[in-house]
Amino acid sequence: MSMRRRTLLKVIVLGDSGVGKTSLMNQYVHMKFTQQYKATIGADFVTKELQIDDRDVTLQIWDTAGQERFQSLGVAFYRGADCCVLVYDVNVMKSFDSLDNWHEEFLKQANPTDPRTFPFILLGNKIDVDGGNTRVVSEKKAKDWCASKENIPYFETSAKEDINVDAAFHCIAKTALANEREQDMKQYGFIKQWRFGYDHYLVLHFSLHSRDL
Amino acid sequence: MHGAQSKRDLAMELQAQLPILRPSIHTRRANLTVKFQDLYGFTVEGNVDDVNVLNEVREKVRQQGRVWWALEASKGANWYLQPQVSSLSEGIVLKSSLKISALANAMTLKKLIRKGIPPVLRPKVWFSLSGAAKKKSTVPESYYNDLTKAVEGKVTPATRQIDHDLPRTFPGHPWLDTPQGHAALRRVLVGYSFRDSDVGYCQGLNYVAALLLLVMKTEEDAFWMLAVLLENVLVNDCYTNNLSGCHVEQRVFKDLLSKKCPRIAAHLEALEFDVSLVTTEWFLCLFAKSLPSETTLRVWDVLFYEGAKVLFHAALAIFKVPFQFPFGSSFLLIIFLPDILKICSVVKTILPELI
Repeated sequence: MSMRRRTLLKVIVLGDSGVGKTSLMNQYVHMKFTQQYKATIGADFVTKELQIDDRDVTLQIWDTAGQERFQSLGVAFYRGADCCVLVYDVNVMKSFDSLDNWHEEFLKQANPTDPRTFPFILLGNKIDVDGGNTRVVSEKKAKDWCASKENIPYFETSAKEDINVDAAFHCIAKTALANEREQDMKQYGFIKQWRFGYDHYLVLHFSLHSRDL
Repeated sequence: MHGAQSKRDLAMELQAQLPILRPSIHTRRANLTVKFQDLYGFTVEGNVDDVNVLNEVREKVRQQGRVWWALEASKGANWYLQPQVSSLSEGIVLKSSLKISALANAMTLKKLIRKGIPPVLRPKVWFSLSGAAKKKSTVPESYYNDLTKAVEGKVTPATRQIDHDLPRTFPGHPWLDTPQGHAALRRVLVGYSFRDSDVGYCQGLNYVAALLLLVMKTEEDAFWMLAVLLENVLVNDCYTNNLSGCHVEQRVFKDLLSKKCPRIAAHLEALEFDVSLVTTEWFLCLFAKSLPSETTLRVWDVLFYEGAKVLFHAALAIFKVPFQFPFGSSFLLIIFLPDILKICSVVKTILPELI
């Protein structure tokens, strides 16, 4: 019995409170949207398995609390991240203005080997609200911001209407994978594999999976 | 007559078959998911066996209730309040006997509280034992009403965040998720944010205040419980701007885990698993978001009497939950989880269920 080797990618989702981080994640992983999310405290995560260029990848997506004071908990959550997703609400100017702060804080706390090339992605969420009439941040403004930060890829999304969510996360996974490869080439000269594949734990795995983990 | 006879025959026949039928009935029932509301209106899902376990626990709590009533009858309604040993005219003998009885009461009380305060008595016992009653008595009677009136209509970063979190506190709860529930929770949280501007509002307090409202029944009492929690019971600065108290708690818990459960700690360290990934939520919401409500309130029963150390006991207990094999032996579940993800999901979902 052997387990297939998978690459584990850690993705952190950051942004102001209520911009839809949890909703985006759940739309992507469970293909569901509900108004009934509990506010995230500390951090939470989901995983999704996918294939990118014949590579089996497990995407480990970390959701965080949006209130500013929770940034102080970052060090533990950001450790080992392969990609950082910044989210703002296109209908709330403040959530766009905070992006600089989130970007900066992440680099400060995660302390990646090369901050200039560390992959970020920006998502402008809630484009469905009121047919776009309440929108206050234009696409151009967002793209200008991305251009000023080493050309961060940008997606406009709606977790509610499932617009662009898949495309955005696919890009996230690809970017994270590319970054991981580069990092490993530099550090070890080989591709890091998921270290854990203990066959004798399989029984337990199955019994846990049967409880709908 | 004839009909009754055949019915009885049928019943006897069925009864004879029962031992054979039972296993299949049992497995069918065990797979059936039942939804029901717990004491505080939260929807709980489980199979029939879970419900039976829950009923057993409730029966135990009911028996505990009888003990409390009996004590009230013999010692007086407020026997658990420390008797005042102050009057000088009383002789030394009387004083020392009073002290002994106070000590005996305290011991009885500690034991009783650890077995759970009956839900009907909870508001009264919490309010006096936590110190909330004392805190309230130091300010004018109208303090809470004046406070809520004075802050009505004011907008601060705290109130904006509170408004954001009201519908996201316990969505779907039959009272909390109604306009009245939102309004009550809002007044308590906004009121407190003005009472202590260092804390203002911190996410996580919404869950704590919501459960307090459900237990205490009145906004004012919930407000004072929140105040005594943050100002006296918990570690200082848990919820202030940089959550420094919370950071301290995480570090202390990490040390405690390696001291009390070295095997678990070593295993987690080998996986580079930082326990604060899961414990931050526990310490900030005091388990309100993580454990079923009735379990959380049992933790809070002890928390209000014995203090913040109880949070560490509860957190350690979750990590130490044994995995029971059907044939009797058990092992520490965590040690056998090979990666961070499994640990997170098990610690966050399965272990609280097993408690």
